[in-house]
Amino acid sequence: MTTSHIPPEDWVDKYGDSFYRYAVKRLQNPEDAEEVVQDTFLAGMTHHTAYLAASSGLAWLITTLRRKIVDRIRQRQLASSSEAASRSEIEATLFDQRGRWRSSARLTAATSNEEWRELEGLVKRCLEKIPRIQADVFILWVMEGMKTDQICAELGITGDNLFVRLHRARLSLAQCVSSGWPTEK
Amino acid sequence: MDDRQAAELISRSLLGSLSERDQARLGDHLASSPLSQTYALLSAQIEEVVRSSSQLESPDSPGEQQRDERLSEFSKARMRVLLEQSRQQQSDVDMSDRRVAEPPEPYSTDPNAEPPQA
Repeated sequence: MTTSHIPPEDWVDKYGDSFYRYAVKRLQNPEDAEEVVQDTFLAGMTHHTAYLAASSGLAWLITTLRRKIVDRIRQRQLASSSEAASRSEIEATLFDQRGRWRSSARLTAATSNEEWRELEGLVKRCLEKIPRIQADVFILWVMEGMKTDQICAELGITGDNLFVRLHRARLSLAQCVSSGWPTEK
Repeated sequence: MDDRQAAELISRSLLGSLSERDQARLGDHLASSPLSQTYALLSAQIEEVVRSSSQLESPDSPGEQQRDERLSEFSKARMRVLLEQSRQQQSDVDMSDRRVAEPPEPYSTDPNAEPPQA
C-alpha cells in the first residue's frame, strides 16, 4: 500500500463528508447520497486489489463514486419513466396558446454580483424542486459534463428524448428561478 | 417562429446541436423578443452557476469541513461497521482461497519413504 492508498478503516473519516457533499449535490437526495457513498466504500473493499493496483487510491474511489451516482440516476429514471410521457405542464404555464410567453412569466436574468449570488441560491433550491426525471439529466449534462451519447447510453434513452428532458428542465428551472426572484427587481 | 419554438431552439443551441440556419432564425427572433432573449440569458446563467458550483465541490477536498452538508455520526458509525464486516468476509475468503491454493503434498516415489504426516 502506498501513501496514496489510505487504509479502508480511515475512508469514512477521511472521505466520508466530501464524498457525501459531492453526491448529495448531484442526487438532490440525502438518503440516495448516503447510500452511494456507502456502496463506494464497500466496492473499494470488495475490489481491494483493484483499488491497491490503481496509481491513486483516491482517484479510484472517486471514479467508483461517480459510477455509483450514474447507476443511481439510471435506477431513478427507470422508476419514473412514465413521467416522461406526460405532457409538460410547465410549457402550458409559460406559453399561451399561440406559443407566446405569457405576461405572467416574469423572466429576469442576473445583472450584478449580488444578483448572481442570489441566483446561485435559487438554482440550488430549484434543482431540488423540479421533477427528478428532468433534474437528473440536467445534472449529468451540466455537472458531470457527460456527452449526449454517453447519457443516452447510460439511461437507455434516445437523443430526442434527452433533448426533451433537458429542454423541460431548463424551462422548469427558468420558471422556478424567476418566481423566486426578488419582486422589486 | 413563436416563443415556445424559440425556447426549444435555445435548448438545442445550449446543447450545441443547432444548425447555422436555425441559429440565424433564433438570432432574428431574439432581436425582436425581449422575453425570449431574457430566457436565453437566464438559461445560460443557470447552467454556468451549476457548472461552476460543481467545479468548486470536488470529492477530493477532504479537509473542507465548513459546509453544513455532512454525514451524520450515526451514518459514519454504520459505514465503519459495514466496512469492518466486509473486511472480515474478505479475510475469510482469502484464507479459504489460500487453503484451496496450497499445493498438495507430493507423493514420494521412494517405496522406503515414510508416509506423509497428517
